[in-house]
Amino acid sequence: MAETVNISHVANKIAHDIFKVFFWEMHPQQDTNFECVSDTHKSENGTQKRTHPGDVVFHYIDPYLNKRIYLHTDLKSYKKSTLQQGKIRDSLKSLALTVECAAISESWRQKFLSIDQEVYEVRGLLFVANHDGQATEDFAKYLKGIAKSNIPVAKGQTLHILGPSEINSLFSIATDIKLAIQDKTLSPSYRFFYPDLTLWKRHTADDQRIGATIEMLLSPYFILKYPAIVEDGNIILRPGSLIYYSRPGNTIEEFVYLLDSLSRCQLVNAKEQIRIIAFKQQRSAQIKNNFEKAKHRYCKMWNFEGDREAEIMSISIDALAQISSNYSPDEIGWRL
Amino acid sequence: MKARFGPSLYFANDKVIFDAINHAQVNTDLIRELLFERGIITSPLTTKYELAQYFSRLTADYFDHINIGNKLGKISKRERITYAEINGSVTEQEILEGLKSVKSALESKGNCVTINVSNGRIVARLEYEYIDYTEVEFRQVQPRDSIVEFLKNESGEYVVRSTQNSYTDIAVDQVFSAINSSREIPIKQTRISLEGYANPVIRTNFFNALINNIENHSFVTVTEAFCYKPKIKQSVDEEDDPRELEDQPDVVRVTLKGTGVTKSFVIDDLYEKDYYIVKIVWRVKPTSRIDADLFELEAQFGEPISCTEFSYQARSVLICENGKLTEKKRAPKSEEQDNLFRLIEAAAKYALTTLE
Repeated sequence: MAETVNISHVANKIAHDIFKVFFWEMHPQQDTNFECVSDTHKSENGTQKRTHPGDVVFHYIDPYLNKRIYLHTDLKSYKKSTLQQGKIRDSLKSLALTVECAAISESWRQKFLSIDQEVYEVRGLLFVANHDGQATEDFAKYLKGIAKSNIPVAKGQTLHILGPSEINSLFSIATDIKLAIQDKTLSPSYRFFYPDLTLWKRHTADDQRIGATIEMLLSPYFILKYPAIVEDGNIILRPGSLIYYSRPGNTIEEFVYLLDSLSRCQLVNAKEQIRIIAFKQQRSAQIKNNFEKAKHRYCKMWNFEGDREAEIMSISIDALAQISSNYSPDEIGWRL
Repeated sequence: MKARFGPSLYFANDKVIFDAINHAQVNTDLIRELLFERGIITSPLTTKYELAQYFSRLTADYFDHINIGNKLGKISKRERITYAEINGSVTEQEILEGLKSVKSALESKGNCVTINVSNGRIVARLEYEYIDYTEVEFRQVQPRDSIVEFLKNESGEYVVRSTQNSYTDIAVDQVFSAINSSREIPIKQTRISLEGYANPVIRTNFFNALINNIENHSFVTVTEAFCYKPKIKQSVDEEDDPRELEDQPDVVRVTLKGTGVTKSFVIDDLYEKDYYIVKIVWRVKPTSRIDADLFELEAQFGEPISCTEFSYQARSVLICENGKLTEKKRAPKSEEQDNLFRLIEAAAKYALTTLE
C-alpha cells in the first residue's frame, strides 16, 4: 500500500532525526495494523471493529518502573486550514481503544514484542506535526479545549501527546546533541541522568545507557551526563552534565531553585562541569543576567565562599545555537 | 523570625510532592491537569493515589512548585484589624514621606508595597511572603498581603488602621520612626489597652461597654466569650510541692459558645473566680431598618495577660428574610466593613472612658 510505505518512510525519518539521540528503539514492523479483540470496540457506523491502526512502535526501558514501555504511535500532520478540534479528539479516542486492545492482544504481542518474558507496558503516543508551519501554537490551544474525561482511556493506561511545539523542541535538542558530539563538546558516550528518588529507585546501573523516557523529555529540564573526552592522553573535555532547560528564564528564583535541585542531585562538584542550555525559542532577554544573579544569591543564601562558591559560579548557561522554527518529517495528513 | 537556612523555597523531593498532591484537600482533576500539562492523558478510572505516584516521579521545577502550592489553595484567612490614634498633629505629606521610605526598605527585601491616596485616605498595601517552617513544604511560603491605612477621624485628626500581625505591626512602627526622624517633636501611637487595669471585673466591663455601644446598631447577643485567668504563680515554698499536676487544677482559658453566653450562670461562676473576658464575638443589628441583616463582630486582646494588642473584625453578615434570621451568611462588603471598623473603634474608645 502506497500510504503504508510513505508512513514507514516518515517513521524512519523521525526515528533518525529525533528519537535515536534519545536512545529510543523502533520496531522494524512495517504493517502495524493488528486485530481487535474487544467486543465493545465499534466503528463510527456501529459495526464491530476488525483491526486497530498504528504507524510505528517505539520502545525504551523506564528505570523507575523497571519495565519496557512500548509507545504505539499514531503519526499525524496538519496544515493551518485542516486543523480541527474534532479530528484531534477522534484521534485520541481511537488511540485509547487501540491501546486498550494492544495490552491484551496476542496479535499485537506477536507483531511488536521485541523481547519475550520482559515486563512491559503499552501506551499510546499521538505525534502531531504542523507541515505548513503556519499554526504551530494552535494545536495546544485546541487540545486544551478537549474534555479529557471523554477520552475512553482504559484503567491503568496512558496516552502521551507530542504536538508541533514539543516536536520542534525535541528536534532542536537532538540536532544540538549531534552537533555537540561532532564539536567534541559532548562525549558520544553520554547518558540520561535518573537520580534515585525517595519513593522511586532506579533499577538500572548508573552508567547504563538507557533511553530518555517521554516524561523526561517533556519535563521542565532534563540532564545528560557524559564522561571526559581524552585524545592522545590529553583531556580535551572534562566530564560533566548538560542540562536542557525549557523555561524562558524570566526570573531569578527559578534558577535559584534549579541550582538547589542540582545540588540535591549531588551534581555540583569541582571535577565536573555543568552547562545549562535553554532550548525554547521564546526566552527572556535577561536569561543570562537572571542566572548570574541566581548564582550569587544562592551562594549568599548558603554563605558559600572560596572553592564552594567557585563550583557554583562555574556553572554556565547558554541558549541553543540553532532552534528549528518548524520540524515536520513530511506531509502525512490526518488519516483516521 | 525563625532561623533560616538557605533559600526560602527548597527543592521539593518526590515524597514531598506525593504527600502534597495526595492530600485529602486535593481534587483528582488537579493531578490530571498537572499531568496533562506534560502531554499525559490518564484513564478516568485511575485512582488519585496512582496519579499522585505518577506525578511525583516526574521532574518538577520552581514553577511546578509554585503552581502546586497555588492550586493547593492559599490559606484564605481574613486577618483582624487594629488601630492607633496619633498623638500630635501630622500632615499628609509627612505620612507619605514616611510610607515611601518604608516602601523602599521593604521592597529591597523582595516585598511589594503600593501606596494610594484618595478622598483624604492614604492606603498602603503590603504584599509579602509569610514563612512558616512548621507547615508542610508547599505551605512554608505563603503569599500574604496586609493594609496600613491613614485616615481622618471625626475631629479631623489622622488615625492609623492596619492589619494586625507581627509583620504589619513592625511596618507601622517603622513608618512612625521614619516620620519622626524629620520632626522635632515626635508623634506617638495611642492604642486601646487595659494594661493599667488589673482588676478582672473592670476588664470584663470594657467588653460589656464595647458591645453595647456600637452606634446606630442595637446589641443582639453574644455568641462566643473567651475567658482568661493568668496562671497562678507558685510561691517559692510551693515549688517543691510534691502533689501531682492533676491534683492542683489550674484552668487558664475557658471558651463559651452559644447565644447569650455572657448572661449564662456559667460565666457568673467564672467571674466570681476572677476570670475576665479577653475575646468576644457578638451580633448587632442596624437600628435604621427593622428587617436589616445582622452583623457578627469580633474583638479581642492578642496578649491576654496584659490586655494589649487590641484587634477586631467584622466576621460575617447574617441574612434576614421577612424579618427572620436565616442560615444564610455572606462576607461583609468593604464599605460595611469600613463603617463597622470605625464604629468598633469609637465604641472601644468610649468603653475605656467608662472604666474610671
